[in-house]
Formats: sequence, structure tokens, C-alpha cells
Amino acid sequence: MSNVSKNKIQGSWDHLLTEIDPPKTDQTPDRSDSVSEITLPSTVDRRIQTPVSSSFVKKDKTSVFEEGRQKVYTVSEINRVIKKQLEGQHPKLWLKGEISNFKAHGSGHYYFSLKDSQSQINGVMFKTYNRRLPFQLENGMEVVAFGKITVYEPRGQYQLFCENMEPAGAGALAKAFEQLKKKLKTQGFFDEDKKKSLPPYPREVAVITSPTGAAIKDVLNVLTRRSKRIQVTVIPTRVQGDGASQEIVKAIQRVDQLNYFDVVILTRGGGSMEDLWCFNEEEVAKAIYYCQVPLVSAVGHEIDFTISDFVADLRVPTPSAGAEIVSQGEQELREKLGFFNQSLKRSFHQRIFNNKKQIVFYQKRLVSPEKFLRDCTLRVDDWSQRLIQSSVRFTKNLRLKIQLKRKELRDPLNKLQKDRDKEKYLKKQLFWLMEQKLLHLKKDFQKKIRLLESLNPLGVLDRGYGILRSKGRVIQSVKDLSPNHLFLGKGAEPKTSKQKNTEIEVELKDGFISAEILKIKEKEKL
Amino acid sequence: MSFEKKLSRLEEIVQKMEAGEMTLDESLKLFEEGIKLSRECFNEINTAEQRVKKLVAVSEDGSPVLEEFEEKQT
Repeated sequence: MSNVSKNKIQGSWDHLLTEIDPPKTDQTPDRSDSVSEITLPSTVDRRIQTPVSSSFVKKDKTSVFEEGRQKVYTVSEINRVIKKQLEGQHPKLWLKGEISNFKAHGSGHYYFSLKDSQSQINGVMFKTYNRRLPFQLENGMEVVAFGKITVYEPRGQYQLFCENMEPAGAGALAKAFEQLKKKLKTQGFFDEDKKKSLPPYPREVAVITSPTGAAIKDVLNVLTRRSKRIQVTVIPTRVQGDGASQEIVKAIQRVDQLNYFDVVILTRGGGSMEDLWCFNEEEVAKAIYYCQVPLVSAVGHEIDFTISDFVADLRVPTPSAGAEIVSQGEQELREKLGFFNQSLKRSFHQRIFNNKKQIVFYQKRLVSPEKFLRDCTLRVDDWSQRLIQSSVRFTKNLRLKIQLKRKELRDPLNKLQKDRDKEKYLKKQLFWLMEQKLLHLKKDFQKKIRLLESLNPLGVLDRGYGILRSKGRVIQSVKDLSPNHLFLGKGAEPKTSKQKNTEIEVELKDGFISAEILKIKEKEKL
Repeated sequence: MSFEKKLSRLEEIVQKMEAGEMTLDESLKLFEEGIKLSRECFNEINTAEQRVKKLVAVSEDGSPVLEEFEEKQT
């Protein structure tokens, strides 16, 4: 120690140890009285001083700080001792705690602390170990870590040297689950197009499960009820805890290699996330992925989802559902067979029925010779009947005509006489008519004559009238005479007055009178 | 003929019968075959005996070694 610090220490104790002399060095210290309450954590700086009480003074007035002074260790020496002791006393162990101060070093090594509510311990996980972790460490994550307590001498620190780590507690488990799920998904382990379809009518069914659990009971119940044909082979494995995932992997690989099974059901009953954790292991996922036999994952209850569910060719919510889906085809097949049977019979009978119908139809249309003959006979009858009737009529008519003609022919004299009579009669008629006509004409003529006679102007004379004439021309009106009493007459040219008074002649019934016009007086018009 | 093959042949026959364009002789033959197949398939799913075994080991030739499986009471 430097002089300065030594003085410092001496100085601070001085006021308490005024009466104390340093003890003789040949005295061995009495350890039973020594106070050893000071056990500072190794990381605490020794330069931090705590107040010292008088209990550090022993009965024999020697200081406890003088104990063991005969052997003064070096730092390295003491660290080595501690290392030996610590590492020798503690074999590998499992430690539970929360991750904090996590640092992923550039070298790939992890450095962190594990703590609980009251204390913490350093932790380190080298790359070789931590790269096998299926999940990513985060501060705050609950884990169980497996390793050895070691001491890092150069720093005088002890720590847990981690070889393995698992998530613990629901939160951590859920996180690890999400991490693995994401990782496998991006690597394509969940790809839909890689998933195989289940065979519709499997015969050999493998069931990987616990032989004593509830799952196998459920599966067998359903299968025996729904199918007689399916042959079940149980492959017993552990479904929980250490080593379970390895057993499951082995079982899946066996199924794959055997080339005997048509489908395999991986199943277990319900449980917590920890219980079902083996179905979330990466190795199980890979085994399922590479398995050539179609695999149904029926783990836990409806709400449980495990990684195996995502990788499997089909996920069902419960063990019973797994058994049902596998026997589904056969169930439907019963129905199908029933339909096929019916359909076969129906279409066959239908066909036969149709054929029968056709036959009958054609049969009907097929005219039998008898029928044909009958028809013809009827027709012939009909026609011949009509023919006879009409010919009878015809001959009747003809006969009548012939009769008549014959009658005529038989009496030619009769006819002649008749003609003669007719002639006479007609002649008579003619003459009579002629007479009548003549008579009529005569009468008519006579009538006309009388009329004519009545119109004879000379007859007028008989009645006392007279006809006046001038130079032979008749004078009808006073106008016919000119003032000179010369006759003008119609169309007559006026004569000169050289002439003397007109001599007019009057004809009476029995003679003529010559006269001279004395005076003319025109009648007044009425 | 395997079970699946029988089934698909049966389906084929049913379809043909329903389509109906065959001679009488052909339809008779097919009907017979169909009924026979459906009977065989029906028998296979009805009269089979179910066995439950457990896998014990794999023999040298790659076939499984099976034993009776007994449901144990938990």
C-alpha cells in the first residue's frame, strides 16, 4: 500500500485505537473470537471503507485484522484458491433466473446476469453453446440455465458458465415459441404446398403417443367405432419432459423408414405450455417435415397450438378429431357405396325399361298381316258397296231413259198424228191471229178515215163555213191583207197599189161567190 | 385389385351406366361387374377385423415387429 493510503487508514482509526499496540507476531490469533462479519461481494471495491466498531477488538486486545498475517496472499493466489474451492465444490447445476444486462459480444459469446428479486449472478455462454439455442435471449426473459460455477481469476469474478438454457415461465415460453415459429416459417417448414394430403381409405394407421395417456384411449374409441378395416399400431413414446422430444423424433423416423403405414397420428392430451413443450422442439418439427408418411398432429386441446401442428400435413384440435379425420373416408365410403349400388340398379333398370317401351312401341306400329288384310277387306267392302249402289242407280236411270226412248220408238204413228194435230192447231192459231190483226187494222183504218174526214176542210163547208181566197190563195187572217186590200199572204211579195181592190173569192158548200173587200177591222186582242 | 382401384373402377362403371350409351350386352356385363365390385368393397369395410397392436421393434428386413396392445389403466 502506498504511504498515503496507509496514513489514511491509520488516521481514520487512530481516534479509536489509541491504546492498542500492535501485537507480537509470534502469537497465533484466536480465530474463535475473530469477527468475520465482513464478507464483501467480490465485485465490491475494497477501497470502500465501512465504519468500524469496537467489536473488532479481541479479548486479548489483539486486532482481528492481524489474523492470518503470517501468510499474506497475493491477489492471484487468493483468486486461485477461491477458484479451486468454488469450482470443486459445485458440480454442474440448473439455475433459474431472469436475464438482465444481456450483451451479445462481437465474438459471438453471450454475457449477461441472472437475477431474482434479491440478488444476481454473472453468466456467460460461449458461442459453441449458445448457437444451439432455439430461442433468442432477451432481457427480462425467465430461463433455466445449465452450467457450472466458474471463477474468472483475472477479474476475480465468479459466474455461471452456461452450457445450455431453456425458457421458463409462460412469458418466456411464449416468446421462445414465437421465435421458433417465425424461424421455421421463414425457412419454409410450414409451406402449404409441401403438405401431403391424407389417404382417403388408410388401412395401416400408426399412433405416436403415450401408451397410458387419455389420448390413446380417445383415439381407439373413435377408430373402433367408425371403422373395422383400419389396423392400428401404437408407437409408445413419452410425451412430456426430458428426452420426450428425442423419443418422438425416433418414433417418427421409424414410421418413415418402415414404409408400412398409410398415415400416422402424433397425439397427446391437454396440458400447459411446459407440458406440451416437447412438441415445440425444432428437432421434432424437422422430423415431421421430412417424414414421407402423411402426419396428423393432434396435440392438446382446441386452443393449444404447437409447432408440430404447423409443420404437420394436417392439424386437428384433439386426439379424437385425429381419429375421426383418418376414418372419415371410410364413413363417407359407406354412403358412397350405397349410392353406387342404387345408381347402378337404377340406371340398369331404367335402361331395360326404356328398351321395353321401345319394343312395345314398335310392336304396336308393326302392322300384322291379318290386320292389314282386315283393313283392306273393310275398304274393299265399303267401296264395292258404294260401287254397287251407284251402278244400281245408274242402271235404273239408264233403264228409265231407255224405256222412254223405247216408248217413243214404239209409237211413230202416234207421234205423227201428234205432229199433225199440232200443225193444224198452229195453223188455226195463225189464221185467227191474222184475222184478228186485219180486223184490228181495219178498225184502225176506219177510225183514221173518219178522223181524216172530220178534218176535211171541205166538210167545214158543210157546216156553213166559207173559205176566202185571193188569187187562189187562202186568206186566213186580216193581216194577210194590205191596206189596199191586196193580199199579202205568207211569203207573198207586196204588190204595187196600181192594182185595183182585191177581188176575193168565197167558196161555199155548193158554189163560189166573187166579192170585193170594203173594209177591214182587226179584232181586239183579249 | 387394391381397394382403391376397385373403388375407382366402380365409380367409372356407375358413370358409364348413367350415361347410358351402350349396347344391351355391354350394359349387362357392366352391371354385373359393378354389383360385384360394390359388394366386395362393402364387405371389406364391414367384415374386416380391427386389430390394435403396438410397435416393439424393427426387424432386419425392415418390417415392423408388432405385439398386442393392451390399454393400461392409468
